[in-house]
This record gives sequence, C-alpha cells and structure tokens, in this order.
Amino acid sequence: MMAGALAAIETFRDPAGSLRVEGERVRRRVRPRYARAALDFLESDLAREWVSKGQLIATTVAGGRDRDGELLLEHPRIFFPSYPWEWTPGAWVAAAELTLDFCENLVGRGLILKDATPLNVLFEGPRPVFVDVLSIEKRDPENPLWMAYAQFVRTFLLPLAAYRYLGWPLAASLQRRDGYQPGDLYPHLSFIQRWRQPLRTLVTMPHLLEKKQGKAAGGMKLAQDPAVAEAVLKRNLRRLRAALEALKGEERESQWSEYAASADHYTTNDHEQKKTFVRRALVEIGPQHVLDLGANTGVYSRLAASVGASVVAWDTDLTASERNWHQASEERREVQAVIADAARPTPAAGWRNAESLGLLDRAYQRFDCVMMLGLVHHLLISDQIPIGEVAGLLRDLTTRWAIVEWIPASDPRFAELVRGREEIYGHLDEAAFVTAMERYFVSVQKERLKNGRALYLLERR
Amino acid sequence: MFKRSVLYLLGLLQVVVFLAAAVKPAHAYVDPGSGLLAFQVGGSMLAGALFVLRAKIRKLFGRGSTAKTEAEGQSETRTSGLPG
Repeated sequence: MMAGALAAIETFRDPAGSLRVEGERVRRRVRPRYARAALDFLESDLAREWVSKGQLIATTVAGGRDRDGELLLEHPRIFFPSYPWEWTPGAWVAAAELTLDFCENLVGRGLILKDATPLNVLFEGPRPVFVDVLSIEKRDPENPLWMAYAQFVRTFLLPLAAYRYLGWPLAASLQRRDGYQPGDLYPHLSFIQRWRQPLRTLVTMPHLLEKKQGKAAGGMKLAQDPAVAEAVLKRNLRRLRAALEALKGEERESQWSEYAASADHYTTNDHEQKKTFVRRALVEIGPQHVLDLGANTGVYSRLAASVGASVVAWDTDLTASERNWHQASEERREVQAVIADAARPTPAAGWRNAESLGLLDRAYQRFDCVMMLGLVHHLLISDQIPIGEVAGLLRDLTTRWAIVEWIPASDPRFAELVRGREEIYGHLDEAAFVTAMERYFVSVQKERLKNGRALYLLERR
Repeated sequence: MFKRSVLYLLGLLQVVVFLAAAVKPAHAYVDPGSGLLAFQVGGSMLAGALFVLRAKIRKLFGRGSTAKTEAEGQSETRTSGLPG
C-alpha cells in the first residue's frame, strides 16, 4: 500500500538549481552563477511584499555557500501539495492570474519569469502560492517578448480552452507536462470557434503560422528601444489576461453539486443534528489539520475551518469541488478543495514516477482528523471496497481522530446504490462496520440521527 | 508607371523598416514554441509600431509630457533605424 515516506527525487530540469523535500523542510540548491541574482531578488522589496501577502513562498538562506559554491535555500513545506490535474477550474484560473500578476510586477522592476507553468504554483487553502523562486531572471530591456509566453499558453490557457470548448478534462494534464500545442485543439474546433476570440489568438493564428513556417522557426527575439519594449511586453501580458478572462465560465450543475440542497432523505432537523454533532466533536478534539473525504460542496469542510482547522477537501465531483473552492476563496476559509478519489487515488507521475507524488503518499499520516461523512456506503457498494479496507485507509490517513457517518441498508441512498444486489451487500450492517473500525479505533461518541444514520467519533488505538 | 512602382516600393519599405526590429537568437529556458512565438513576434512588432505612431501623433498635437515624448521619440529613431 502506501510507502509512508515521501519518495520524490531532486528536481533536475532547471539549470539554475534543484529542490528536494526532506521531511518538513524543502531545500533548494542554487548553482553558483545564479546565486547572486537569486539573492538580489529575495532581498528585494517585491519579494518581501509578496511573501508577506502569502503569494510567494517564504525563503531563508540556509547557511553560506557549500564547497561547490552552491547557495542553499530553505522553504517551509506546503502542508498538502496538490497538482494541476487535481485542481478545480477556478483554481486553474487563480494560479494563472497569480502567474500573470507576478510577471507584470517583475517587468516593472527589470525582471521577468523565465517559465510559466501551473507546476510553479501550489495552494494553501484556496490561495495560490508561487513556489519557484528560481523562475525569476533579469530581463533584457530591449526584448519585448516573453520567452515563457508559449509555455503559459500551452500549460494554462490551452488546457482551460480545451476544457471550456471541447470538454476535455483538466485532469488530463497529468499526462501532459507541457500542456497542449495549438495544433492539438485546432482540428476539433468548428469553423466559427476557430475565428472567434480567444481561440483565434490562442489556437488558430499560431497553428496556421506554425504550418506555414515549420516547427523549427522559433528561437528568435526582437530588440526594440527599452521604453517601447516594456510597453509592448506589458501589452502582451494584458492580452494573455484578456484571453484568460474569456476562458472563465460558469460550471454546469452535476449529480452532486446540488446534493446538499436536494438531500430529501435529510430533514432540516437531521441536518442540524448532524452539524451539531460534527461541530461539537471538532470543538472537543480541536484538530489542526482535517481531511474531509467526500466533501461535496464543502458544508462540513467550512464547518471544520470555522473551528480553527485547516482543511483539505477531496471529492470526485468537479462541479461540487468547484463550488467548495469558490466559497472557500470568497469567504477566505482555510479549505483546499481538491478533485480526488479515495477509491482511485491520483497516481505518482513524471520521470521514474517520482516527480509528482501519488495522492495517498501525500496524505499519509498528515491529518489529525479525517471526516468521512456520507461516503462509506459509496466506497462499499459503488467502488466495492471491503469494509476492513475502508477502516485501513482511515488508519493510514489520520494520526488520531476520525468522524464517520454510517448509512444503514434501510436508507434510500443505500438502497439506490445496491439496486437489486441485496444478496451481496446484505451482510453490511452497522455491526460489521463497528467491528471493522474497532480493529484500529475506539468509539468515543456516537449519535443516531432520526433518519437512521449514525455518526461516530473515533480515536485511534 | 515606373515612378508609381518606385513610390509603392518605397512606401512598403518604409512600413517594413518601421515595423522591423533587430532579430537576435533567443536563449530561452523553456520551449518558446514556433507558431506561438511567431504570433507574439508579429503582435509585438505591430504593437511597437503603433506605440511609436501614437507618440508621433501626440507630439504633433503637442500632447503628453515632455519627458515621455522625448523617450518615445528616441524609441522611434531606434526602432526605425534597425535592420529588417
């Protein structure tokens, strides 16, 4: 099962340096010829301002240079790193906006971003944080081009465009480190789509130019007077922002996005009773880090955040997770909504499967409380996971507490899922659930709702 | 006829020189693309030209601050003077 340790390798693509996670520390080595520039940036007012606003990862110099003259830096570890393939569309847009904001601010100070990919951004709650401090370099004042323009389009805008216009999942970015080429989308667009903005700028024109001049025609830059170059560069960034703005959109309703409002198997009293139990349990145990499994639109994630916990909320439903992300963002709650499936966890990815960690490796023993409300019956029936395995997953994820809701076979939602397979699932009663949980947990509190569902506060043995 | 062709040619040349800036080899860390780069190059040349043109018009009508007009005037000279 889970390795129980972070197995990520040292990063290796950036010629300026590398990064490795060592326990709770994140260590960055900066090669000698890039060290001065890195320090200059980190000591700048802009860096300080962005760090104080939580938009740039904090950095400390970890001692002097080592024997090879490399500079050693240290960052705090982001509690739960999530990857673009797990982000909601709103999180993608927020990460892209942060990247453009940062780049615009740098340009005014004679600097620029040398790369622009979602992988330079992590989330703390709903807030994007720019984490690659070696992405900043000095700008050639005569060059009006942003050399990372194409990467920004490939890795941010084209995945968003493919999602909005073609319904291609953003999760496909797992297999596309460098995003999409304009030619990947072009054949799938209608004539009208091709010539309307923002696709004309992002897909059609670049694709036709590439066809005309061949793929090897890149690798050039312009030289203009510095004042013109800066104005043109800022205009290019504004146009990217306009394209990003055009790619924002309303999410459609999904099976689960209206669940909280349409849960007819709950009366108002049941809802209140459930909320009261969960709130009371959370206040009593005072967890720092809560994982909300099957969070839906985040009613209980926000409840946990309201009592002081920082929450990571997993749900398989994109629309429900998007609502959770937006609400947390608007209300500034410490909730990080992630599209993730406990039954089919995001795999490790990248070179030797070691550049990006799998979902469970990132979550292993990271939380002092895991909530599993209205989820157990889905894992048991829809995903056909044995009850003992569900208990085992909870044990792996929490260091101490779990709040779990048991849904009995008489519940209409349970019956809906079983659909004629009563014989197979007939043995799944509350006694079997309790026996499985008691292998790893002690039941501290229990409350039965009027609709027959039961809530348990469990503590690890 | 010949005179008109020469005039057209000179006009075209003026536009080309006006838009053009020095093209140098780029040293990018990430793949700068080809179609996307060409699109950015084209857009940047046009935008540069418009920027200079706007400055020239402002100067003609005596608008804009002196310092800005001066900087923009220099840009024009520099951009126009670069080989195509």
